[in-house]
Parts: sequence; C-alpha cells; structure tokens
Amino acid sequence: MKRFLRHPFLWMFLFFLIMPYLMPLIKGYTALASEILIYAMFALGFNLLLSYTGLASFGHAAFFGIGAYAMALTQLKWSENLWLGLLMGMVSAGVFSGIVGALICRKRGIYLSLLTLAFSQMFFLVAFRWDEVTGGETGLTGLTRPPLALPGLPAVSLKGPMAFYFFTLAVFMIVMILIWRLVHSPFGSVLQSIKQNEMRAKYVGYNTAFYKWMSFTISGVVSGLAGAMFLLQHGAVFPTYMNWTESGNVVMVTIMGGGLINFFGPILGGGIFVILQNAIGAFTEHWLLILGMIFIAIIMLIPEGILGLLKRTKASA
Amino acid sequence: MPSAIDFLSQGINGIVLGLLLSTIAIGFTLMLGVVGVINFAHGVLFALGAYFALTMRNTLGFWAALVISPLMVGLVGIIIERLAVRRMYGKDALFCLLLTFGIAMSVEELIRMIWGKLGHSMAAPLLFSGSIDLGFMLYSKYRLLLAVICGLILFLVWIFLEKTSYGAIVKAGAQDSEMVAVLGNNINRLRTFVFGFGSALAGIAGVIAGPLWTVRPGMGNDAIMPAFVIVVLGGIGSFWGTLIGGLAVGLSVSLAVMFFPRMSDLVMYILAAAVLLFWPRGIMGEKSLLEE
Amino acid sequence: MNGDREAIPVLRTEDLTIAFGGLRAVDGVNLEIEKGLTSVIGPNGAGKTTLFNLLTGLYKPTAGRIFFGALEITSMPVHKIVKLGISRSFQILKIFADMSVFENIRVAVQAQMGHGMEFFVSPSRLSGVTKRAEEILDGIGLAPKARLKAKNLSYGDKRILEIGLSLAGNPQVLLLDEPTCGVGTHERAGVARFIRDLTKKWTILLVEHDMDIVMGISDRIVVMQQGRIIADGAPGEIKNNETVREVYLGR
Repeated sequence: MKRFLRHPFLWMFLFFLIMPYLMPLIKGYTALASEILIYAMFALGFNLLLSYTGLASFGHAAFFGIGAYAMALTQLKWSENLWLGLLMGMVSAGVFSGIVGALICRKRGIYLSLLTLAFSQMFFLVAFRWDEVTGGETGLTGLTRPPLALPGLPAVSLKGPMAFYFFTLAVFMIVMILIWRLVHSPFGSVLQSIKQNEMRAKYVGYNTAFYKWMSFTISGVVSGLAGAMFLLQHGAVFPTYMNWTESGNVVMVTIMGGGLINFFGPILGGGIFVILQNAIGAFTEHWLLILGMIFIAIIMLIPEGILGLLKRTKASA
Repeated sequence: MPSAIDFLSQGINGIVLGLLLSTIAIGFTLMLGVVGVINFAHGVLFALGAYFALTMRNTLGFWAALVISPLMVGLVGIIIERLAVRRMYGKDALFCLLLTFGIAMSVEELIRMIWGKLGHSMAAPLLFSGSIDLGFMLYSKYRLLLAVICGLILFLVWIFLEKTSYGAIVKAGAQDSEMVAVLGNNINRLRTFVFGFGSALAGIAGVIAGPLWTVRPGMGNDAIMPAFVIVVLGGIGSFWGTLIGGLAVGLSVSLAVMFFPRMSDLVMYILAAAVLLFWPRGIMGEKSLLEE
Repeated sequence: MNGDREAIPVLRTEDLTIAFGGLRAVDGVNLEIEKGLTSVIGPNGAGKTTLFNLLTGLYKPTAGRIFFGALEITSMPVHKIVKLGISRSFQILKIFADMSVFENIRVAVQAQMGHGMEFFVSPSRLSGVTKRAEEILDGIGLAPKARLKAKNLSYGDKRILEIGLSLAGNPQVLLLDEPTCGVGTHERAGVARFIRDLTKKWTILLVEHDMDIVMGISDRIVVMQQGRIIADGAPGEIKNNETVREVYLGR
C-alpha cells in the first residue's frame, strides 16, 4: 500500500484532477488543460520511438493529422458514435504508420529521419490538395462532440469543457499506463537494446527490423488517438496539423521536458509547450519567436531537458 | 493529352526550376558535407535573401541587390555558425538538427515581425519583364534570365571547387570531413567559411526566386524541402549530383503538372523516398557521413 | 558420399565468394570447421572479417553456399542464424554500453529463450531468463560486477562481456573476431586461457593477429590471403609452411 501511495501515477492523477482549476491562474481556461493532456499523450507515444528505440522520426505529425482527419470524416460521413470515431482515428493512423514503418524499418539514423520526412510531406500534400475529401486548405470544421455512451449507462454529454476534460484525463491515464507497461516489459528491453547497439541486438537473435516496425506503429497509433482527441477538442482539423514543423515541434517538446532520460519528460514538455503557446500567444502574436528562442536555449544549454537539469542539480546538491 | 508545345514549355520550365533548385541545394549540400550539419535554417536564409533584396530593390535596384543581399545573408550565416552551431560539433547529430530547426522557426517569425505576414511581389528588372517571342511560343523573359544567372552561379561554384586550391579543400571536405582535419587545415575556419558560403548561396537564390515566387515569410519551406530531396538524389557534397538531382526534381515536378496539377510536388517526395529506400547514396554520392 | 559414416562438419562453405565492385573480398573459399579451436590468420585485407560477416548472414554471398551441419544457411538473416546456434563477438566492441552488465546478458538470454514479444510482465518476472543470465555471468566471472554499467568496466572486462554476450545465446559455434584486440599485456594471457577453456563446450573459430596466442591455443590454423585460403593445418605445420612465411615475412 505504501508503494502505491508513492507511485508517480497516483500523484500525477491527483495533480491532473485539480489542474483545470489552476488554469485561470495563468489566464487560461479549462480547455487548455485538455489540450495539455492531449499533447502530452502525443509526446509520450512519440518518445517510445525517440528515446526508447532511438529512432528520430521527423514525420509523426502526419499520423496525428491522419487520426484527426479520420475522426472528422467518420463523424461527417459515417456515424456520430464517439468510440467508432476514436477507433477509426487509431486504426487509420495505425495502418499508415504500419505501411511507412514497414518501408523504413530496415534503415536507421539520418536515412530513417529523412524517409519519415518525405513520407509525412506526402501525407501533408494530400491533405492540402485533396479538397473533396479533406477540405483542402480550409480543412474540415464545425464538428461537434458526440456524447459518451457506455453500455447500460445513460449517455454523458461531452460538450462542456469539464466533462470533456475528465474524459480526456481518463484516456490519458490509460494510455500512459499502457506505455509505461510496454516500456518496462521484455519488449521494452528489446527496444532499448536496439537503441544501444542495433548490430549487437541482431547478433543476440532479435529481428530488429520487426521491433522497430512495432515501435513505429505503436507510436503512430498513439499519435492518431491524440489527433482524434484534438479534433474533439477543437471541432476542426487543418492540413497544418501535419506539417513538418509540427513534427519538429513534437521532437523538440519531447526532448525539452527531459524525455531522453525520463519517462515523464514528454508530459512536462508537452505541458510547458501548450502553456507557453497560449500564455505567450495572449501577449504577442509573435510567440513563435519566443518559443523558437526557448528551444534554442534548451538545446544549447540543457539538452537533457528540464528533468535532466533537475537531476543534475539534485546530484550536485 | 497535352500537346508538344505544352511538353516543350513545361520542359523548359522544368530546366529553369531545376537550375534554381540546384542553386538552392548546392549550399545546403556543401554545408552538410563539410560541416556535417543538416541546416533546417537553409530555407529561412533563402527567404532572408529575398527579403533583403525586396527592401533594397527600390533604392538600389535589382542588380545591386543581387550582389549585396547574399553578402548580408552570408554574414548572418557566419554569425549563426559562430554563436550557435559551433557548440554542437561532436554532439549527437539530432541536437544540431533541432538547433537549426529552432533557428529556422525564430528567424521566420522575425521576418514576419519586420516585414509583415502578407506576401509581396517583387518586380523583375525592367529589361527582363514580360515575354519574349521564341517563334513557336512566348516565354517569360525573367525565367530565361533566371536560368542564365543560376547557370552562371553554378558555373562559378564549380570553378571554385575544381580550380582553386581552397575550393579543392572544400570539395574534399564535403566528401570526407575527417580527411580535411588530417590534412592539417584549420577546420574551424573552413567550417565557418562553408557555412557563410552556403548561406550566401541560399541568399542569392532567394533574390533570384523573388520575382518568380511571391516573397512571403513561409517561402523558405518551398526551398528546404526540395533541397532535402536533391541531396538525397544526388548524394552529399557532390556538385554534379546536386545539379543532376536539381534538374531531375525540376523536370519531374514541371512535367507532372501536366498530368497531376494538384499533386505535382508529390512527385519529388516519391522520388526521394524511392532513392532513400533503394539507393541511399544517391546517384553520385561517394561517401555518406550519414551512415553509421 | 562414399558410404562411410563421416561426421558432418559443424560449419562448411562451398566456393564461398563475395565481390564488392570488382574486388573479391572472399574468393571461392571451401572450408570445413570441426570441433575444437580453429584460428583464421592472414594479413590485413585477407578477408577474415568478411568471412565472418558472410558466415553470420550479415553479408549475402555473390556465389557459393554455407552449411551449418546439414542445414543450408546461405541466405538467412543474421538473427535467424544466431538463433540456430552461430554466435559472434566483434573486433570493435559491441556491447550495450548504458545497460548494467547483468542486463546485457539478460537481454541476450531473453532473445534466445524467445521472450522478446512479451508486453505485460516486468522483465524480472522471467525467472528462467534471470536464472540463466546469472549462470552465464558466473561462468564468465563477471558476477561481482553485475550491477555496474557496462561502459564503466575495464577494457579487459568489456572484452569478456563481449564474449559473454555471444555465449548467452547458447550457441554451438563461436566466431571470435580479434578478442584480444586492445587488451593490455598483463591481461592477455588470461583472455587467451578463457578462450581455450571455452573450447571444452563450444566449437570456436578465431580471428587473431597475436601469433603467440594463435600458436598456443589453436587446434588448427587456416591462413587466408586476398580472399583465398593458402594454407590449412596444425600449428606445427603452418609454422614451417613456406608460403605462409613468405606472406608474413617475405618481401
């Protein structure tokens, strides 16, 4: 029981329970809290690939976008069912990341990064130009949140920001716990061995290409789920969600929080990113400049991220 | 089915575009080869070239801008290298990449702050605006000028790399930067020089592209992506690879416009992916520092 | 064959060839490896490491075939060949630097025992894997250093860990590529003895430059030059072989 009380998950859950109430302190609003969790989820899934498998994908925003578009299109053309939409978001992102993953899983290093960039640009262009399906440059807008319906229980409306927040929190906690489980399992240890020395991992008998593929696809599915949730949050999806600059952002954010050395780093990074975006965005429309300079400072001064910095100061104390 | 004239005009467009893209990419590939940096900021340096020229154009004229703007952009490149990039040598390549990404983001926003977020059109020099009658068709005078200027720049770069002693060092370094250190040259100065040189090349490409493409803050994206593709196709640090790769991209995109007007630039990414998957060293690259 | 019950060699190649551009790094090699310790020696560029790369499936031969016992393994990928029982250590260390010594071996054993694709248990719960990893650590003498990070070991210990990683897969054949490379003089004899001891249980194919060690521990020596085998026999024979002396000492 004592171990349970000290587990980070418990404290994080408690913090997240009150987080929406803290938003007004930074001139934010409840929906911001949802966005933090969604982006943190995106970054957590991405970190599985970046930090635990050692593969720097510069195209993951594509799968985020595919998840969002899939959710939107499901709602518009097929059914307003919440679960179906989320499922389609994950499945579509999974299918495309599975295909791309299969093509790139025998490569590594910069080749892999450039390949992910090339593929994500292809997806971006399709979203940008295929007006009939994706709405082109103007995207798909005006989507509403379907109610949350579980068998045997009355439907709960998610239209209110608090209701949606707690739904997001539930999804986030489940995803976080699943990724944690994955990372601390034999499968996770194989990913780490690939990151440390892929050749040796092959030579102890692992089909490294397959494991890389799995890691890529799983992180793709999580990205898709995050994208679908983002759509529910904002009610709209635009091709810019899939731009390479968004892909670069998630890499940056994951590292900034300390993702390279700590499981929870991406969550911290995601939170800071969303808050900065909104807090700075409230003061100046040129928040991208401030964000860019923060990125530069972090990369140059504390590449191991914020959690890494805390670890450093704790060690020297 | 497009007519022969369409093919011809798109073909010429393709060559013109290809020469411009090669000019954009040559600086990028030299930086990658000699300095070992994937410079995400190459696109904004290109944009800066266009914006500096835009500002100078009315007071100093196009031709002066063509010379001065790249020098200014080269200076910006040198500043970036000395203040920031230099500290990333020896660290994981990912960090350098992210650094240039952050720089690209910041500079693009700076451009928006200084010059506004709307696009501007930059007029071509008076002598070269309008079309010329080639007999079988009309063609834009400026595009022909662009082709000539780019050809000239590429020729000068080639002369530098092949015929000058410092150029030989740069060329060797682009293929194998370790060897250069062994040869005893001041590697830091070489890197700074190449970074500045590459930036200046991006800048001059920006000036030239100004009248062709609208001058807008996001124009760098239209430069950096083809640069990546061309380096993939042509190999790192290879002059001829860049030229051939640039022409390949220019032609395939321009010709694709006739058949898939909406998805023509998709072609270049498909090309890049295909090459990365099957011929990672590109058409002419001899060494890839990207390999482990 | 001619009807006798001839023992099938552990590892066998038939006209094995690989060409890079115009260069034949390995050229028509016919080799039969029996139990015991066989050393492969030769000047730089002779093709020894390339031979190892071919035998373990890292390179695909341009021509020729490879057999492991009765099974043809010519086009198999590395991880499959390793699982069948051919293991290898590298000249340039390939260990999992940031993992503990224990985890290095554990993850290797985990591969052999087929638990890579388990998602919902903690690795420490794989008691079979853990037990075997501890046995191997004991066997190679690194048990006291189990909790250290691999990168913090002495160079000699890292070399032993490297060999330990190749043992973890329970192989039948060990290919050791210059295992004493970089090891200091006072540790060399120990490593050599360690390798000789391994012969009790495993067939060993050794690439080595240190002639004292080669002469001291080999049952058989194969000499390569420019991709071909130029001599093959017991240490005594090779020492006195004219061609070999020319190759090593001549000109």
